[in-house]
Amino acid sequence: MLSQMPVPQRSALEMAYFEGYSHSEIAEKTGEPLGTIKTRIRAGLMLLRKAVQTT
Amino acid sequence: MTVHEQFGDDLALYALGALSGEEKLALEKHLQECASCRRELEQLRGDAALLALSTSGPRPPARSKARLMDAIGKEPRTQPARTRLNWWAIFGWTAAAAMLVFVIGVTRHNKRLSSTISELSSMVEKERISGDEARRIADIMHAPDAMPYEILPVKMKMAMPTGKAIYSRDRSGLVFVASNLQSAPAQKAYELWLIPMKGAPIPAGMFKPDSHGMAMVMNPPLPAGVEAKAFAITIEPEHGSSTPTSPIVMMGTGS
Repeated sequence: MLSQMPVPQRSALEMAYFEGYSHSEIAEKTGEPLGTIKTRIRAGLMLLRKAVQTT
Repeated sequence: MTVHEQFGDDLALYALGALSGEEKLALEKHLQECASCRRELEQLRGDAALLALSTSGPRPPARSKARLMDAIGKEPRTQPARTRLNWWAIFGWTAAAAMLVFVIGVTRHNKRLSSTISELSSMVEKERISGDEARRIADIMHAPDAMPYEILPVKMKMAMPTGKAIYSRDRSGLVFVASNLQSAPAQKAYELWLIPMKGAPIPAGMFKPDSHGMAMVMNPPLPAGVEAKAFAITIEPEHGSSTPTSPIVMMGTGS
């Protein structure tokens, strides 16, 4: 499922979930604004939910 | 979609454990008050759990493991786990054990509560029965048609004024019944006195006999734990007196 996700969402999710970074750490590491990271993580989870519901 | 849009992104981060600092505190505060955000969080946690099942996800790096072990190490009464067990499993078992302890605690608490409830209800029932009895006795004595029947030796022609005081020191309780009393002079009434072992007589209630010469004093206010040597009756001004002002007309000691 993760492989079908756009890269920015996917990498934000992976960093938060698998690598245990907080949102501000992710923003720092990627150089993206905090708001963008937040939106990506949420969008990533929503995509995941959608993927499960359609399968 | 939640009505609390401003918390939407934070909820997703929180479900992943990626929210920290003041934002985390603010969200937790909001969650306590907002059922719809709590539901949304549950859903997001479900979504996040899918990540764990996702086979395409990368292996947890050392950093995550270190963070978890650190958190577990800070838990009280947790043995340092230095095994090579899957850390998700450790986390799961810890949660399951905590839940078990919680359930056992709740069950015990419930049992204690239900035994307390049954004790209380049997106490209430006893109280109700004895209260009913007391009310019935008082009802009879206060009934408008209650008639005193004086029972005397057959050879005695004249009914004498008599009084009976029943006193309990432990309960500071007094019931007094008198019969064949003459009516009190105008502006005057009878006053009952508790004569203690030591000290001055204590007022124990005012009374006026009814048309049958009968009078009653029930549970006058009395100081606690006074031992009574005797009870006496004087005639006092109608409003009562704190010390006797006239000679004793009737008196009796305990038998």
